[in-house]
Amino acid sequence: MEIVLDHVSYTYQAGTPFAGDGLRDVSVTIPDGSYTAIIGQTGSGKSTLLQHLNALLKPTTGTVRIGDREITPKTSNKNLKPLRAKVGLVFQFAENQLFEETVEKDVAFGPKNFGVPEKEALARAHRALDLVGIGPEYYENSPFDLSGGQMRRVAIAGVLAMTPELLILDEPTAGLDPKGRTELMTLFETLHREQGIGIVLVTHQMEDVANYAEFVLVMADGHLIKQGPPAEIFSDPAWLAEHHLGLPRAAQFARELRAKGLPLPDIPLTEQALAAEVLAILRPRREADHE
Amino acid sequence: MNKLMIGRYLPGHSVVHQMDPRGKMVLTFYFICIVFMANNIWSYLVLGLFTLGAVLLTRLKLIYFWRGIQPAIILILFTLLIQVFFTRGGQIYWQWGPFALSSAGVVNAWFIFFRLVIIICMSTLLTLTTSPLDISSALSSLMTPLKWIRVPVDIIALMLSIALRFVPTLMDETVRIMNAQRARGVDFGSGSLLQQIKAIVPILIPLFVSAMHHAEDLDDAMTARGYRTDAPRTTYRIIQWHRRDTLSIIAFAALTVVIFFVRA
Repeated sequence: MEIVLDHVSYTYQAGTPFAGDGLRDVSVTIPDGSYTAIIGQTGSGKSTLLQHLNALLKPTTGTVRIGDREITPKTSNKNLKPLRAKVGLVFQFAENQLFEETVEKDVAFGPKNFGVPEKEALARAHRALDLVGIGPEYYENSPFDLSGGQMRRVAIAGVLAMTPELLILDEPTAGLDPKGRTELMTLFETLHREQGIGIVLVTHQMEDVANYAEFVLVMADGHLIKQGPPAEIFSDPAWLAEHHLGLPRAAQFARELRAKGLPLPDIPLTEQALAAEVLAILRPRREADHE
Repeated sequence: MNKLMIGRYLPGHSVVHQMDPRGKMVLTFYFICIVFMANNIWSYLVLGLFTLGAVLLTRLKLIYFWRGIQPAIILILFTLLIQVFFTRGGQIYWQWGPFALSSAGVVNAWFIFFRLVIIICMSTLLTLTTSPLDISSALSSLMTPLKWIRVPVDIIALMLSIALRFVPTLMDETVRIMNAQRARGVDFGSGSLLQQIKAIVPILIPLFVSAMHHAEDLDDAMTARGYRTDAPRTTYRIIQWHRRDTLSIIAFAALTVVIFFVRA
């Protein structure tokens, strides 16, 4: 499902002295089934942008097209539900949305709201829980007895159980330990690759952007200031620094190696690419030494 | 939810904003008492002009005062109707069973309408120009005499400011949780009454859980910074009485005198 934003602006609390700009004239296309990352400083409008993608917010001016639905400032709040089944949104600290008595009931809550019968909803819940690595021994537990990381997984399962075509993730790994972080990121990558689910990821981890994203949007002060593939975004460290953004660790490391005199042909973004490049330089040297 | 103006503070630099919050609170309360002294058109006119003057002194847009009155409008209209139809006296224009439309009723209804509008305007003025923190420190200062009868004034004041401090936080939290549940297919504000009540559960429970988390975190943070309930407290914000506060008291005294002269 393709999402097109056409000159979208959004003003918070319009008409009060607290009014503030959330988005300013953003136009962008998020292609069907793509993996898009959104980066930018805190307060740059990333989360506001996300909430337009499933019509939780309606633009103050401009239009948003989600699949074949047009959302304009005048769109009524009725009948937006089918859209939200197709675009699953995982909020920051998603564990805050848990409320049911048991884990499986909480995960089945979404599908049931979209009219899936009880039995089927539970079956979907079990499948989703299996995906996020929560075993059957937890199904009957209270979600509030789980650890923070497990609660996050249950909450994400709650969105996956709606079987969305597009999954929007607002810093899904914030506050998790490195292992949990890798596991979740791998899960999203698998869903994207094997089931063709589109992913929109908001993150502060440049490594995640380099490792997984096909396309990057950079937000600053409500504006979309740059868009392109990761290699292009990360090609200008001075520009990134100017906007308080960094390079992926591998790219940073490669720059420093280059400064020390190692003739790396281009700047790698991932650890694998870095290793391959370094190896390509060192191997001939070592062979030369042996001769 | 954003349009609700009750209890909302709008920062500014007007004389009214800078007044001593204690003075403002006491005078607002006093004003409400004074309003009940008015009993003819002249006294209401004086009160109306006084209120208008105070409102203008805040230099805030009139629309915010209107928003303060708006939620109470149904209550006001209801009181009006009761007054109009159940007060008898003077000339009777129309009668049907217990209902009667009389000249006294109409006059009375007008007075009550005016009284409510004036009172709401003044109390809106207090909350619009006084930050919640100022209100709570004013309260604790005003309650100081109660310390003699062992009322834990400092603790009450602290509880009050913590409660006020968390109103916006919990409001934000509510919006966030509502959005998260909306994204999971909950429809707020549609369906039968029972469905709407059911839709509240997925908000209330997470909100309650998060309020508890906030309380625990705050407890830790306060303990870590050495908060003790048994130690005497000092305040960072010191409220000071200025000449403008004395002047405002004089203005209210003058108002009282005028009202006494013009009332019937």
